[in-house]
Amino acid sequence: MLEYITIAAIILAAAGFTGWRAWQTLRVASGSKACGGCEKCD
Amino acid sequence: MTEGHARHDRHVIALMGNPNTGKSSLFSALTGTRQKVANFPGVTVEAKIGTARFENSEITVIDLPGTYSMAARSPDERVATDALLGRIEGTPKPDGVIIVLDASSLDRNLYIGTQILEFGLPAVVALTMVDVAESRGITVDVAKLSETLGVPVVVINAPKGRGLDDLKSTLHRTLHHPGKVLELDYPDDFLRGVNTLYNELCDLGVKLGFKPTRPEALRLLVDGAGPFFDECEEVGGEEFISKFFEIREKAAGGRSLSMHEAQTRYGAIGKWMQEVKQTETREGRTRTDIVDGILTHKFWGSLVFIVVMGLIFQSIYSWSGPLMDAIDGSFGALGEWVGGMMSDGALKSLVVDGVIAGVGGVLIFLPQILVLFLFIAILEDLGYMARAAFLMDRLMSRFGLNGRSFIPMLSGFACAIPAIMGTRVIEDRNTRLTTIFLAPFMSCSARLPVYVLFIAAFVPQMKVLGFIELQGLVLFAMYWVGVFAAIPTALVLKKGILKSKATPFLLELPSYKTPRLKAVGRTLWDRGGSFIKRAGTIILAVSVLVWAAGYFPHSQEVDDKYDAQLAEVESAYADSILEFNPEEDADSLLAQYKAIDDAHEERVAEAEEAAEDDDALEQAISESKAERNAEMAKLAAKSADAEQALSHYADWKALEERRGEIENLRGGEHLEDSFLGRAGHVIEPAVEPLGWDWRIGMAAIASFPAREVIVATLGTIFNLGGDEDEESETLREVVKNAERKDGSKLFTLATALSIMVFFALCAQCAATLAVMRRETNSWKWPIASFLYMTVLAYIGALVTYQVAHALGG
Repeated sequence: MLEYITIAAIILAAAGFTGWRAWQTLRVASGSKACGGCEKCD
Repeated sequence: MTEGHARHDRHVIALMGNPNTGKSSLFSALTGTRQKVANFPGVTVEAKIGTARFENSEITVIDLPGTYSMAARSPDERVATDALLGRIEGTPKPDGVIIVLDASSLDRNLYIGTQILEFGLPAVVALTMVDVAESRGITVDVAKLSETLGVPVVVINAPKGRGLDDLKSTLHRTLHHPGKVLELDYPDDFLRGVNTLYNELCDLGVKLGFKPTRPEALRLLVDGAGPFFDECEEVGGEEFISKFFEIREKAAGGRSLSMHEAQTRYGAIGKWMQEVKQTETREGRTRTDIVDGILTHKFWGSLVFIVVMGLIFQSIYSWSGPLMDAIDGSFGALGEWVGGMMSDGALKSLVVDGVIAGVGGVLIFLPQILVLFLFIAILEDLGYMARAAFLMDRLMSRFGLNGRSFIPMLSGFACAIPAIMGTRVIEDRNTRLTTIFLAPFMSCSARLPVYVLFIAAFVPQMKVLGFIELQGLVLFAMYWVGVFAAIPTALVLKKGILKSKATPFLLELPSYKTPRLKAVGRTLWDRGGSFIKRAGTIILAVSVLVWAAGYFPHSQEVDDKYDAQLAEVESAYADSILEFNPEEDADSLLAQYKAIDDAHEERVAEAEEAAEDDDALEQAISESKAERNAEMAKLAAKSADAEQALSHYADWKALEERRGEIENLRGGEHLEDSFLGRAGHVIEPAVEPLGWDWRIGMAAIASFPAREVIVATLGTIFNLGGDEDEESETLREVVKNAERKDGSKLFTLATALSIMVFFALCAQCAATLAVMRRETNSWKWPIASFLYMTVLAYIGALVTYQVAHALGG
């Protein structure tokens, strides 16, 4: 049980992070984020 | 401004000058802020802000884009004027300005210098490159220059830290006094025109929302276009425009206004230079002239360019190979060690097949990235890249572009994002859009792992013409695929929807410099760090998600089926064979036979690396087999037990192979049944003509947000699918040994080439598309780029596979 809870937490964290990055990318597109997305200034 | 008892001054100063005068180096030296410094023009395209301290003063330094003029034709030139006048939101208005002038090209540098001094802000001139000027026989009388311009002049050498204290103290003194407006001797009509327009602009002032300045009136009069003109047109309407053109006509007096301006400025500069500058006449050409003559020569320059680039790609293979193998081996060992510590189950699979195989698969390419950027950083700092841009100007002009497009496109070989942002230096809108559209075609560093993986696995390690590594040659060729696709694209765009007039390209050839260890080191640190960061963040996250999609639902029925098969196979063997564990029973006879067998496997692996052709390999394997058989026979002859153990060892080996086969089938069926597998089978018909199966198709789709994800995804998919065996410790070997359902090899040379061509041409980078949207202010361009490149990549991969397959690849 603990194993599956751990896995679910890791997957949720990965999905959350990927979603956050997608959101950041959209902010770059709209011009509200100065960084170009090449990670130098993230 | 006072705070408490101590007096604290706060000032804001702007740093301005031509590109490549050492402005960025001075900014870094003053503020300590890290910033990329490259030895070709146009690197700084956005204003950067840092803080310098001097005694009790805090000085905010704004590093503005390097420009040749304050004419508001291109976006960076407009940024320069707006920032100087404090009209950029969020950027403070400067109290003063440091004008950076290159002593070796003082005449040309003073052109913008005079334009800045006309604004009348307190100013200090920072004179750079004095050593370069002296090496060319140019001596500058600093005191006279200061007297002529009416502002203090300080000689500095920012990379060596010389003159910085003097500059700061001079600046500190200057900022406490009002600035002096430089008055040039313009023709009367021209000057009257400036004054009349200035009065008109003052009348518009309230509507504009700011008080216009006389130098702005001059700029507007001469340029007659640009963002400021648009603003005036908007608020002043028809009435203003008709007056404006009337004033211009009178001021011009039948000649070009920009000619009036240039003649006045260069006339004044020429007079000043007679007193300020002394040039020692040297007979013949300087060494720099001779070297430039070769490096920018149509034929010899192109040859040098191709040889230099070829050598870089050769080195990527020969230098980074051992380090890559070491990292590869470490991740293999880490996977085994972690796997050994954890009990079988989903969590172990997540860590070993998802995280270690995914992230490790990408990280092994760090040495290649570092070798590539080591060369690029050295060439940039040396001053060679500007010569390459000059060379490319001729070639690019045939496709309607010019060398100004080459500089952003060159940085596209590192990453398309700074390349797209770098197009701000291009004045002409259509040329800028074309360059933005072409930038993603340049093979960025994210494509390198894909090329290296497939070339290392499928292109034989052999030499062409006796000294050129074939693998390096193929890698070099892959970098040209994007360039060759970009050429017809440029032609179509420039002759069609983005037609524009050819504009002259002014490129300064910077002096050759010894590459600075610090600058090269910083580039490597930034690039390597960024690569590791990507592997540890987005690639790690995507690897986990790909693992989850490839692992679940993980049906119990599949496990039960293969457990039953395993039990059936194992029932045919004696307990002594079933329970043999080579690590725990290290002293047993079976383990001794295994050690002899392992030694044979090692010899075979070494022979595979070293053998020059198939015949030599076959002979080495047969010799190794004979040696193994002889050693085994010798051991068997020692006792009856030993003889019996030999036959038990053969049984154990057969059992291990069978167990391996069943586990591979189990992994394969779980993968096929997974969410990833089900989706993969839907897209399989679309990728089959490219020589791919659903696993490659899904890996390619997963890499649309970021290209290098394919390497991580392949690592995870093939590990989950049980395609690894004892010999497949590295991803290269896993890829080499992966099979289709019918038992044939999945990856052939034709498949590998098809994947590489697809990745060379496809727009798989969400961040690039986002920046394209921002820079063009429209979704039209990123959508067009994505569709065009994806279709082109598909067709390119299809043709490559079909042709290579037909030729027997």
